[in-house]
Amino acid sequence: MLRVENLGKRYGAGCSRCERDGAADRRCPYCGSVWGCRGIDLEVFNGEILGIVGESGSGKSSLLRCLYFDEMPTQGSARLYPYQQGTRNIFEASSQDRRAIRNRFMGMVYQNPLMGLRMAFSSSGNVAEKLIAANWFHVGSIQKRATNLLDVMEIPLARIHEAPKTFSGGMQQRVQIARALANHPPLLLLDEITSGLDLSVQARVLDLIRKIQREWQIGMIVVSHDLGVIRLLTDRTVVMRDGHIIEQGLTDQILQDPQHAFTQMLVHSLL
Amino acid sequence: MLNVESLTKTFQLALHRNITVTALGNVSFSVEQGTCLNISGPSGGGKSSLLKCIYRSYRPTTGRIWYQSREYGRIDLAGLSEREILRLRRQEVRMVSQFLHVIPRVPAIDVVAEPLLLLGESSSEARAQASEWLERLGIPSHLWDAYPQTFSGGEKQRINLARALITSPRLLLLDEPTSALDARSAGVVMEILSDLKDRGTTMLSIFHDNRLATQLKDSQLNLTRPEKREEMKPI
Amino acid sequence: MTSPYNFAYLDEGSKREIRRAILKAVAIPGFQVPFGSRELPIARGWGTGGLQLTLSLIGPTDRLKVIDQGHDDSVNAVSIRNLVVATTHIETTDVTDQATIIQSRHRIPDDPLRPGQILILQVPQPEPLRHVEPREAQTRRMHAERDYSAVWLGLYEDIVRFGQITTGADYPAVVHHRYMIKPTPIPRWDLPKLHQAPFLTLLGAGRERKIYAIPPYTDVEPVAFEDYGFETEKFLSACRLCGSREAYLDELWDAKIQERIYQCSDTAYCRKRQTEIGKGDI
Repeated sequence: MLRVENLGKRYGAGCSRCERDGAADRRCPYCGSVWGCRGIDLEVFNGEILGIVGESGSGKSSLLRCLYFDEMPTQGSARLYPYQQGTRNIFEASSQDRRAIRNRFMGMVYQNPLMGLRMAFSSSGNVAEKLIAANWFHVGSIQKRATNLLDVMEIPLARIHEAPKTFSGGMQQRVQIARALANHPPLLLLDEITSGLDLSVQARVLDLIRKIQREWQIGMIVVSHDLGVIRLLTDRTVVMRDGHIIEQGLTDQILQDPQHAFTQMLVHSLL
Repeated sequence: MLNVESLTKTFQLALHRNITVTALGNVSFSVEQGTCLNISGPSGGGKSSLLKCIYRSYRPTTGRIWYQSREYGRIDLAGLSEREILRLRRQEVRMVSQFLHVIPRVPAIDVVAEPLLLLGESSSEARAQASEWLERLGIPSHLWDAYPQTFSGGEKQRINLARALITSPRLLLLDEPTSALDARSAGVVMEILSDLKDRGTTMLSIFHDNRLATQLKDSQLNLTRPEKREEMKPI
Repeated sequence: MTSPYNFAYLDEGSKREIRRAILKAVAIPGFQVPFGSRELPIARGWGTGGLQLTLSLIGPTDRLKVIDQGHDDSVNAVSIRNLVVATTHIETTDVTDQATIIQSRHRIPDDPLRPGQILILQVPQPEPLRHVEPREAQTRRMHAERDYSAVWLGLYEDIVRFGQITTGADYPAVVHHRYMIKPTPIPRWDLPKLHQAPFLTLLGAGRERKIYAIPPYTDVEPVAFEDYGFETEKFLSACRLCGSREAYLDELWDAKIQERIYQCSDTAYCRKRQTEIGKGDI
């Protein structure tokens, strides 16, 4: 459903050498530009959960931000089946089209709820905004759907008109998921959603995500540095290091039979 | 049903020095549909590795694993794409290991029902079937809404079995499925398994207890420790 | 007589630049055109945007009307009128129908305007998205992508919380099916007057350095949900002076009789009606 090819994001001006000497170094020794991620090839199938694992600074979030158009990649392409049957690179779409893709075909849950929520508006308003952006103009239906989604995410109905800034971290994260799911997108991007939550809340959020995937058949990309989360949620996993993908495979295979020296180190560090 | 041709599995461990470990050396055998092949051998002989290669938790190094699938016909599991492996795991190939990894704080009955939900079954139907299996495997009903992480080893093992059996798999890989069970529970499990075999499920099994193996097996494969275990110099 | 100032205070180059910005604003209805706001002998935020539009357009044969919140005689209106007269020596009027240029703050006259007249509105904050997005670069992008869901969201929250839209003035509208505007703090009452209006409306913000326009006969559609439509303010009583029920009324507190009283906000309109019904000037 999503096919990413040779995706790269460079921070800095770049030069002819770092364009050419692809695999060399994260930081180009000639111009000092840094590549957030580079040469990324991956695929997400319908209704599948793909994990992206790696240390801090390995380029996981950089990749996710590119996919959600928070940043434009320097090179590479991504094709999303619902957008023109996957015939066009979404990074070449007009800015209006990109906005439509973001609103209808994708949902994003940020590590930091401040990034994904409007803290001054109510929780139901946060969900409603996504619906309005997809041309829902009937207050009654918007309200019904927003309430329903927040209910699925186990937000107490008595509190849905309160602003998320009054909520706990776990609740904010669940409001974010409700907002991301508002238009029933075929692809959901989740960035380190359980870090910063205590263990009992973590378990609840993981179960909800699993449930959503089962019942809605949504494809997901789960970025995490926590192999435990990856093991419980994902079918396949991509391992990143220094902006590159160094290994990908079935999640149980990555955990039990890691090929790359770095992955072996990572797996053997699992508590 | 299953034809394994000169399967080899080696591990390259690169943590301190480069070490190559051979887990499986050139194994070949075949299993007919509706029969059970029991795998025996010393510990470290590669029994679990063989099952994991077939389930693709391990990446086979060389060799072929021909499997007659319902979905794709005769295919080589060793070279199959990840997407197709995932599909087969959902629909016809299941593995029962000694360990249970589930999301914390999900009730046992939902843990068991999950594979059916993934196949598109309604949640009420899936839960009904799950409770049937829990009943058959002798899990007391007051535990059905409890969390499996709090269960005893034997109960966890039966949850694992129930999760695998609920989808009526065509190929079942059993890695010591009764190691933590008492004699009576083990007897119940063996009965269920031989019933499943009679209805056409093909099985590969590892039992720590030879008497149990004899109840189920139709053929036998003895794995010896591969002699090659060489050390490589750092590159 | 020689005046130390150029005609209409501003130098010709400045006036030409502002007129160029006006032409662009007319060509792209509702689009916010940046312009180099000039220094004037009144402080920014006191109508300099409107005043610069007036000064750049006015000619010796024009007749000017200046109102502030409906009044021709409030301090602000008088000061602005005096400045224009001192530098141009043109004629002014209170009568809406006789004016060629009407500069106003917060109101559109209740007497209908006719083709050829120009309505100039003073705007404190021209950017409809500013309260949801403080960054100019972002609001430009949002206009380009018609990303107006945040404005809709504000109305939605109003409805959910209070059961109705409480936004009184500064109500968002879409011009020519493209750009969203919040036409300065004019009351909802005045918004329908802009739709398919026979006159030209220019809006200027001196402090924010923006000009935008609604050309004659352009669609101006208030933002509304399917099940919660746009409504103007409703008044239960009539004007105590002229008895009008068709005008926007101000609510006052009469301390003598301890009662709420209502009267027309547009004083010129009210006076005209009083003359018509023979009540004469107060």
